[in-house]
Amino acid sequence: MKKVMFLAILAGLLSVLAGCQSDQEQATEIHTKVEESASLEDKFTANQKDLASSRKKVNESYQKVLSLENNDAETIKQTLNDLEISTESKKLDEARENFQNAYATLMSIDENIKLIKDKDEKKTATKIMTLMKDRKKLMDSYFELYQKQLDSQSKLFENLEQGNFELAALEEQVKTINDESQKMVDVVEHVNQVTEEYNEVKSEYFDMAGLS
Amino acid sequence: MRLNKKGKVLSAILSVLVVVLIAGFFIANKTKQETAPIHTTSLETLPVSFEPIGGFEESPLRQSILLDERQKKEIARKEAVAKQNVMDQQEKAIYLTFDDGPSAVADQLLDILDAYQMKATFFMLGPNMKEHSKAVVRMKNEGFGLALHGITHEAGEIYSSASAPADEMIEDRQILKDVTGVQSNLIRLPYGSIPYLTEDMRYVLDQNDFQVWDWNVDSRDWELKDRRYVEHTKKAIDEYMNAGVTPVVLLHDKPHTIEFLPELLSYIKKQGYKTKVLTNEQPPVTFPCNGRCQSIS
Repeated sequence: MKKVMFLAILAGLLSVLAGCQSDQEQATEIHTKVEESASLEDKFTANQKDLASSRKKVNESYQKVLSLENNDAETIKQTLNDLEISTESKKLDEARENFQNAYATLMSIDENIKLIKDKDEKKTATKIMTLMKDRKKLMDSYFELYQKQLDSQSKLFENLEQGNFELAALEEQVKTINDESQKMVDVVEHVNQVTEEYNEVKSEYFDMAGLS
Repeated sequence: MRLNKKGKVLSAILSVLVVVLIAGFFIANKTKQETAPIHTTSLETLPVSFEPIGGFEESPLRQSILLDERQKKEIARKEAVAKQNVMDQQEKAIYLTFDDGPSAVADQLLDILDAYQMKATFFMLGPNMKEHSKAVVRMKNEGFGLALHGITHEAGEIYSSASAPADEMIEDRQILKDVTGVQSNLIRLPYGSIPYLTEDMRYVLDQNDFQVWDWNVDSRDWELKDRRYVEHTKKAIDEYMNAGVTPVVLLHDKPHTIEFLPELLSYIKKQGYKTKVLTNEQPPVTFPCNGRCQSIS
């Protein structure tokens, strides 16, 4: 009888030790994937910086056009001709692709999460994924809105470039761009909140798993 | 209980195993604690700024386009007014207009006009229409012209921003519609459109389909307040008629105007002039800015 009890205790002890070992292995693998995803996001972040710089240039040219009069058609044409909305659009596509890659890499931690035995660790690791999924949805809106706004900007600049100075139409286009901007501001703010939360939860998980 | 030899060996092996495992557990834990902290890369927030693109509203570009459009519109308006004038002259038409009503004496005013079988157009204030709604309904039923004069009649209010005149007229239009079911786009600005109705204000009014009416004969009833206004108006009407320009006469829905109105109407009838009402389709007689418009502020 004592032998059986002794063996049972031993088996339990072994399984606890094996569990701890397994959770730590999962945490290490998750860490590797999270870092890999983060390094892919670096490219996306670089794209964003390019886009920010392009937007600044576009805005500067736009302000220059606003300072002109409608009879300065040639200067308006020349100023807008130098703008490269299509380049910005390409950069946006590139950013979208890099984000998608980073996202897919991060999502592969799902298989590791399934193997985590500690309930709290599992819950926190799952939250990392949930937050990234939320972020993906927001980023999809971001890319969609961004492209829509680039299209609206193209239309406005095309009209100005071609000397189509119908005030009501131009005002409507400016209003559309500004409405879209407001939506973008809201989405970016939301994305940034989720990103910060993601960073916090990620650190919390690695703390729990004893990796930091 | 005593163990046999086999039991003793087994328990010894198990004891060693337990010691090894416990030692292993502590060593593993210690190793874990001693591991250098791992590096985790934080994701960056989005750096792109999406603040609305400003500046269009006040820009020289917008202003130049606005002035161009206003000039073209003004040319078209003048042509249309000239055409209308030709038709009106054939009929010896004259337009009587009354501002600021309906007043408490509006019914009396309508009785006089009816007595002379004459028509007029009323540029009315929203609060007055609410207060004397029966008179407004009577105007509609008797075929008088229904038009708008705003809400506040305060220059500091109605000319306070580019959209302020349109805002007041939109509210006024709705009041008229609620009272009579009639949609009128005919407006007259308090004190006339010069000098405070800027090009920007005119543009917003255009956007809302309003037709800005001024006048070419000022009866000066608001200033003279007695019989002298009749003499002055008779003279001015004849001058315009002789010059081939259809008179659009500014009058007010006020007791002192009504008191001497029969004299004026009697003269108009005697001259064989035909009073008509203004309509939404008619090109308006408006004072053009010609550089004279300025913001009140």
